[in-house]
Amino acid sequence: MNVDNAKSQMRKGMLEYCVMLLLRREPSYASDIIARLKEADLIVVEGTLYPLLTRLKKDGLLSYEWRESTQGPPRKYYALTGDGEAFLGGLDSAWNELAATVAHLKTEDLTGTPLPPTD
Amino acid sequence: MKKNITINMFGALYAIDEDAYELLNQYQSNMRRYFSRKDGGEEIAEDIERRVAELFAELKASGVEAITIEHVRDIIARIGNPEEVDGEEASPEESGGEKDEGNVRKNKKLFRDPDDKMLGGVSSGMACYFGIDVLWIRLLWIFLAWCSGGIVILIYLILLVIVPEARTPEDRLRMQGRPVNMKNLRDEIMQGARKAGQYATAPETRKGCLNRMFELLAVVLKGCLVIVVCGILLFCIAALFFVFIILGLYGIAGLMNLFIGSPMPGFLAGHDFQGYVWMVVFSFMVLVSTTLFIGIHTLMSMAGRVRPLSSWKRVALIVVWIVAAIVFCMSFNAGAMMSCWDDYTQCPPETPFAGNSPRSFTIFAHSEHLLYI
Repeated sequence: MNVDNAKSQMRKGMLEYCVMLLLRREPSYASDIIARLKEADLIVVEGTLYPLLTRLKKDGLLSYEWRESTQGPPRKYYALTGDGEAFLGGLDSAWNELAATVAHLKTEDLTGTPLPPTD
Repeated sequence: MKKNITINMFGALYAIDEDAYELLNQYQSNMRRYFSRKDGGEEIAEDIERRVAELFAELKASGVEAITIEHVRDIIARIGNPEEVDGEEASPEESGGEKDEGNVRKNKKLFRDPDDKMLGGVSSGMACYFGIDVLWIRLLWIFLAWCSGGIVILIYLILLVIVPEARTPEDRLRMQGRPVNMKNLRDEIMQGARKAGQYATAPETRKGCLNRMFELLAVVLKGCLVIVVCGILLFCIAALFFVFIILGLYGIAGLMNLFIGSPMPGFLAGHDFQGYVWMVVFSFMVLVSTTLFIGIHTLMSMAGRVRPLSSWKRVALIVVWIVAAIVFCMSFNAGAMMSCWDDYTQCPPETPFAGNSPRSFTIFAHSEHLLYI
């Protein structure tokens, strides 16, 4: 078990949340999402995104529509559904808890005195 | 200098080198085959193809005239091969490294090696499987062929037909018994790309001709095998339908007897008998349809056209099949037995059963039936 492996496990867990966060801001098509995720260093191979999108769509959290593009074939624009919004809300609170716990553990480790959890 | 072809992807044209096209084609068929087993897999494969087309369009826009094998290799490394792509959904167990060594034997499969072959690649595949030098296997074949007076050659031909060729990178890893993980797969794909390059530039050798002859022979043999198997299957189905029709006629005759009351000859007269006939007919229909369904589905899933059945469906089908088979055998036996006894009752008085009434025999047959259960 090395650092890289632990990091990649962490990223894998994050990926779904991050993709949904991106889609909450605006509907986007797959290559858009890939570019953003690559900027953030969240995916290694691009193809990983496609099974994820298909699964989220199948679970009813995402939907897509075809839009003409200025160059090339029409593109699938993905957006969150109502269920997706609710699901993302749940993920948000889970993330906040996690972040608070991590922050708490870190500060306690450094100073020895626990801080009140920030929300 | 390389041959160049034009391909059409989602309505746009791209000029691509022949070796690059080979690699791309292999990549996409791997992707399709891999995802054909998954839910929504076709869509995933198509999305990925769209992505490839988009990257091609970007290349074209940046002034690239013809797509070369390096471009395709970059794109494959960028998008990832099927196992990597699916890694997100799979359980996190790769990167085992040396730990996988224990499973090597278990994951090893016998393939024909298309890259190192004299005839059909059977020997080199076996060498990979047993971990010995291919030379010894070939010498052993020759020795055995000489000793057995040629019978072993038949075994070679059968192996040529039934052992699959290692076509995909995944197959090649299995053949060598290397764990199927990201790193190995990438190595294997890159190696495949190098080979595709050689293949496109290498001149045709005489060995190539011999190989092609053997490929042809394998195809012909496979064709013969398929024809024989299909013939046997068709014969069985025809025989089953023949039995089915006969039983159906008996059933109808029995029904006529019930409603119209017309006198039926011999063993069709008893009312209890009809119940057995209907049981036979019904269980037979179930038996035939489940057998056909399981057979066709197995063949299709072996060819990778449909996803294999989930385990509970498989269990349910097998249970239905067994129940239908048991009911069929029992009711057929009971019915046949009853018809024999009914025949007995019509025999002249010298038979020992002649004094009894038909009803008692029917009851006797019933108890016999219960005994079977």
